Amino acid sequence: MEYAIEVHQLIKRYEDFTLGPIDLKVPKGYLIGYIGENGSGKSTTLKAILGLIQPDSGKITVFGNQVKDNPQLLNKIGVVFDNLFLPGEMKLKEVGKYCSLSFTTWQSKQFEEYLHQFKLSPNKKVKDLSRGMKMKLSLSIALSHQAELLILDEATSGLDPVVRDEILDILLEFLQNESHTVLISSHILSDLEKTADYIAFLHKGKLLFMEQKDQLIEEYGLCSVSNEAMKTIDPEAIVGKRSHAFGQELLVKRSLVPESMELSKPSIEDIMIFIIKGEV
Amino acid sequence: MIGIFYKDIVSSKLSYFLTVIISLVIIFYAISQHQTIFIPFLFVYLPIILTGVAFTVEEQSSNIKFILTTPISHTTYVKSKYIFTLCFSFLEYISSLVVFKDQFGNLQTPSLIGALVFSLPIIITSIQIPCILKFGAEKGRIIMVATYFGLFALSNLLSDKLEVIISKLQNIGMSYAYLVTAGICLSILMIMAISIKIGTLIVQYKEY
Amino acid sequence: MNIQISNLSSEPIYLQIKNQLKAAIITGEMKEDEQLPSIRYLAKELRISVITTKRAYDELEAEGFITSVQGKGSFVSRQNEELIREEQLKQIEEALMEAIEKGKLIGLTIEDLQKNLEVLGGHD
Repeated sequence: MEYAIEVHQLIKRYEDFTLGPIDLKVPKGYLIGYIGENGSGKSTTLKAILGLIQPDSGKITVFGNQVKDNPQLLNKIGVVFDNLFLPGEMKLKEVGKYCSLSFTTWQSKQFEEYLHQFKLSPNKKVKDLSRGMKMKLSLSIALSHQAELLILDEATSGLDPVVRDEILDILLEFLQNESHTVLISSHILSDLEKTADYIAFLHKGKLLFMEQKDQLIEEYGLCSVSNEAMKTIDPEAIVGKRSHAFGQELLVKRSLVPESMELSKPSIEDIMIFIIKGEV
Repeated sequence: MIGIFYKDIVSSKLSYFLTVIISLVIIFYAISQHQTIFIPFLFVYLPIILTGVAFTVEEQSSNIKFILTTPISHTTYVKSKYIFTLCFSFLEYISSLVVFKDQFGNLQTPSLIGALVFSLPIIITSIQIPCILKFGAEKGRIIMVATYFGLFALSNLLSDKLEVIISKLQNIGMSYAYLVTAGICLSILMIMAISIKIGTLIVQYKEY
Repeated sequence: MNIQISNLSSEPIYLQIKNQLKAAIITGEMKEDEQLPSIRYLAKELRISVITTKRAYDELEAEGFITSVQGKGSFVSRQNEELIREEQLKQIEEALMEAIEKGKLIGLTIEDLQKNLEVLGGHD
């Protein structure tokens, strides 16, 4: 399998937080959801991939090269942050001109088409855009320089569901090309629930797993049992639990419980919450 | 590099427009009052102000985070911040030639004075830019104010000693004047190169 | 062609797709050599993961219903009569099993069902 991003033994230390060591390989051609609570280190990882911060150790390559040694690589990477970092006084058409002077692969026509599609007027100023519009502008820029990899860092948080849905459509359209890859960090999991191919789960600076979403959902099951019944279950099988006054809710590994047990399909959110909160 | 310079200009058009208007007013005033000596000195202040404005606007929008995701190397980004200074230094040199030509009746001495005035803004921005990159535009502005005072004191000193300096400059053989001019320019450009190198290292190791 | 995904079904999504495509091929809704929608297109339209769709196609290919040509896409393969017959027999069996289960509920015996079958089918 070919990889768009390869992170090897990445470590970044802060005073009160350490990220890593992280080993993460992002396969080419898929949509990868990078999930975890706020402060788990998602943004730090993405910034390290983009060369915005210096890791303490480890090696990160994108399409086989390191971004910091090779800025031209950024032509191939579309980046959307949770905010648009452009001066408020700039008009959208000036943003286009600026980008055409910065990206060697810039496609003015495509950018204009996206502005049109998103109903963004070229004469509007950046400061007059709503949050949703800023996100759409950011996405328009990211998609107008022939990027093969899109990195979205909490880009959809704080947007209303209709806009999130629109953005999801654009991402899926982007993925129609087999060599295109999307890495999206988010704590809104409903967006990723259906469409993500892989889920990478970060918790307290450590990568707990990176798995195919389908496998993940098939691997685990949810069930409600009484306190007595829980004792009959192999403790190894219980991944997370939520005890309440009248019994237990469990997230279990399907392979380790009897087949007769009635299990329901967990959502990615269930898996995330049970693993984080369910001290076994 | 052109891209960043373009962005710096369009992102604070009003400030630059006002600066140009005020400068023109000062120039016309200076000419009408036969105080043309002010003109080269005006060009010393301008790049420092404009560079400061560019950094402030950039910081307000955390623009650097966007810039670093475009295919621009850190060095190119830092270099783009010296464009203002270089343009104005050049203007300064030319205006020195024009202003002092009549006074001396030759080009050699004005060329020397020009070279000295040319070096001022470059030295100042070479200090200013790494400071702003390191400490941010806010603290960088304090350094800017300090350099203003320094400049002010220097220009006072210069105007007092102008006669002496000029006579000393004239003592340098006329034939060496262009050579000395070139020498000054070269060493100044070297200072700028070192400053760019330091600036690049600062950007590289800073967290965005 | 219609493909419906149900989130309520306990059947995994890849299986739902696989079964519906298979049905389309067996009933002849999709003809021999007809091109199937591309994996990525189907994933986009149904808003499911590419891997899910790929798995459905891979299994259909393994069972001989479709052939994939690198770079061109997937096509309905020349149908093996036996394969189709087998598949259809399987479906008939399933339907009969359902009839038997339902019959049991109201106390019908196998003989009763046989009689019913003869009446419904008519016999020469």
